[in-house]
Amino acid sequence: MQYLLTFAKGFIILGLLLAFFAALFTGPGPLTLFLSFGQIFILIGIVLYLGVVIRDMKDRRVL
Amino acid sequence: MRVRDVIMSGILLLFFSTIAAADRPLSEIGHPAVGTTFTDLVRIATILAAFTSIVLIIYLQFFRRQQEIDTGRKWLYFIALFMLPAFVMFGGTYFSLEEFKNVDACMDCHQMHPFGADMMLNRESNTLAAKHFRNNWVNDHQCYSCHTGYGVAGTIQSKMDGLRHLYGRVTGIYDRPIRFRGNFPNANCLTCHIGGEKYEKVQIHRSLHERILEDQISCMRCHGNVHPSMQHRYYPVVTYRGGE
Repeated sequence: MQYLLTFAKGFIILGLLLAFFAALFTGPGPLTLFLSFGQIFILIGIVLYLGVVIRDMKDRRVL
Repeated sequence: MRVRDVIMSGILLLFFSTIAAADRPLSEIGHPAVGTTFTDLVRIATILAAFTSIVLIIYLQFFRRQQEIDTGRKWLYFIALFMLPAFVMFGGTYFSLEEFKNVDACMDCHQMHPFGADMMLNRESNTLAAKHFRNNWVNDHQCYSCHTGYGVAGTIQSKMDGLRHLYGRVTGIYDRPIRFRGNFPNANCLTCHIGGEKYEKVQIHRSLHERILEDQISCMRCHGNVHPSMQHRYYPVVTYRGGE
């Protein structure tokens, strides 16, 4: 489960960096591409992270 | 140089970039909005959220790694890996949709430059677009204001068209010569003009009132010269941002 969390962090950091620089250097070209890729990475990371959290809660019989 | 030094340098770089970005206007051509708009605030909040989230993740990963996972740390993870990134996603979507209303977005495509040149650079032009731009009859989002239908349906349609344009721009696949696909509903003109003294005192507007409202007769039929004709279009040498 630890490696899933590491993947989640990696995806989210990559996505956040892309979104960060897209927001920093506004303009339709880079903005669209960086933001779109950034959002995809963030989404994958969030899904992975929530997966880890839900699995952890199930293991501990919280869910 | 230790890993921690590299990380701290990266964080400082991000921090100063954030400060630099906060002062940058969204639109650089046309008539940029005066003062800070809601979109500017969302953009700055998105930048700060992304920055905070990156710093938090790095902090949790490298600086508090050995410590036991307690409730506080779990909440920090939740904020860094879910709440802030989710905000960045939604904030980014919001301000990028807003950003695409600016004239910059339309002028990003080479094919639109003759229209921008006529509107913004040609002081002698008598086209409707040029007159509206020159006299500031439309305050901002000049292309978007006239080319987007009003109401929710108009906004959705414009976003669908925008996606189609983006696809054409990225892939280079589109029909040539480029032709205006949609129709131009009178509502786009009437939203501003109807009820105005200048509009109402024209006899023909009053006599054709119903037909104009129902789009049976187009405004363009009489006020036709909206953009330059094929013969009068040219690609400007100077850029819209003032450089050569």
